[in-house]
Amino acid sequence: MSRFEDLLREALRREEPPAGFAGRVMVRMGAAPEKMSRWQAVRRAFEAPRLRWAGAVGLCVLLVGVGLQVHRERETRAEGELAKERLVLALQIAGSKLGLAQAKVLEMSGGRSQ
Amino acid sequence: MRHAICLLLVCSPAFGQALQWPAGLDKLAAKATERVDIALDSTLLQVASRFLSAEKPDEAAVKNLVSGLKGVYVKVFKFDKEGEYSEADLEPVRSQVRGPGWSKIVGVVTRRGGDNTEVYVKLEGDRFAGVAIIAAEPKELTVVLIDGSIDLEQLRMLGGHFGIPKIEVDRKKALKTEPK
Amino acid sequence: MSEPAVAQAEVDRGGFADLVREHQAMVFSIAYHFLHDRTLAEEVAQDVFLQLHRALPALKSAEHVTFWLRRTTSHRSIDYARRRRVRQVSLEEAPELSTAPDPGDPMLARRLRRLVASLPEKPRLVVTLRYQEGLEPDEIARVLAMPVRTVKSHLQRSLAILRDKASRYLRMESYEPL
Repeated sequence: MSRFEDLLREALRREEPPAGFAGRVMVRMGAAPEKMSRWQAVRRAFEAPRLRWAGAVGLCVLLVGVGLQVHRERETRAEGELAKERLVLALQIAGSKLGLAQAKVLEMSGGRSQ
Repeated sequence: MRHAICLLLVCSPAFGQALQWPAGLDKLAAKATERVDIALDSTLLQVASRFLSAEKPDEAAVKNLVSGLKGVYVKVFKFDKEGEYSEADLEPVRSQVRGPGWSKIVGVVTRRGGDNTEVYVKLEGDRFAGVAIIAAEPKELTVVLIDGSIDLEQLRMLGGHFGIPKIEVDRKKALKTEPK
Repeated sequence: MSEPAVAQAEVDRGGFADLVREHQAMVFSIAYHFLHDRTLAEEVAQDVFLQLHRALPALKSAEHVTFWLRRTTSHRSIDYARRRRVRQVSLEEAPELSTAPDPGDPMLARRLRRLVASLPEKPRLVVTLRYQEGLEPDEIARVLAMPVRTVKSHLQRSLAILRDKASRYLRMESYEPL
């Protein structure tokens, strides 16, 4: 394979998702069956019209609250992942330049590499 | 041939003796066709560190390295043509990292390629309390400043992690070590 | 739910969690290399695994699961990008990188990923499946449900575009002919 394809393969190698990914999937999976049975219970309890309206409003407030919380958590995670990515890049650049300087010095002093 | 000049300064007042970016740096940024500008103070380093996994070897190495750091600042400028910098632009920066507490430990000049790499360290007792790396190439300028307790060997090893190939020097280049 | 059914459910969940961990890098990476956004890639990956849980009874083997995941992730990524109007990195924006690189340049891989992200949808997936997953053109054709000759054509043209963009960055004398 050509060198360029090797570089592409390196650039496109698999990466792990953010830590805790499997746990988050399992949490979402675990929520689904519970919601089904809870929903059935809620429907029965709110058959009275007055309760139905109050329940609808309460549900909306709850959904908005949960949605905001999920949104905030996603934003926090996105910010953290971005900071991590920038840190890794910064240290890679620093390590790369340091390594280059060291390699040149080693080559100068006799050609022995580590 | 004029070399691209590397400037290495931190504008964070928390960094030791308050190194300042020279005024000419913004001018250089305006000429660059491509830039990297990373500034991570202690707060951002803590945030980033929380997202580094201790279970993944590569990330654990970074997490360990970062634990003693107060700031990481990197600027990279790439230019379309040579000569976008002069030695005069570089001197205000170099003079600061030659100040009290700083020592130049590496100075390598590649005559044919026009590359010039300098490494400065700040010593506090017997440990490194900061690193400055200035890598000047004809069309690229890299400036790195790391504030805090740092292990240089660990940092260098990161150059071989995260899928980045380890550095191999082109043996066809003529090398000359700049006298200290 | 009866006790044996609960126990079975717990075993199933444990087994499925292992399945997620086994394939998460593959699924996440296909989505990430397509969408070029880690947060969105995780959303797609989570959705794919939830869908896998529902589809699992119909899948016959480990190879079938892998095939199903690659195909579903590819299609979900396209759907996601279109629904969310995820902005594709334009070829003009993907940097020309006019200076010669350090062979150990840590930004090289990032640049190549951006170049790949600037390709149109189907060629982007073809390139990802080829170089991330190491699939042959006929395997890619099955995953994406397209003719083999179309896959080969996408590969050929995409490589030419990527080489052209990247060649101004890569120092020719340091590398074998691209």
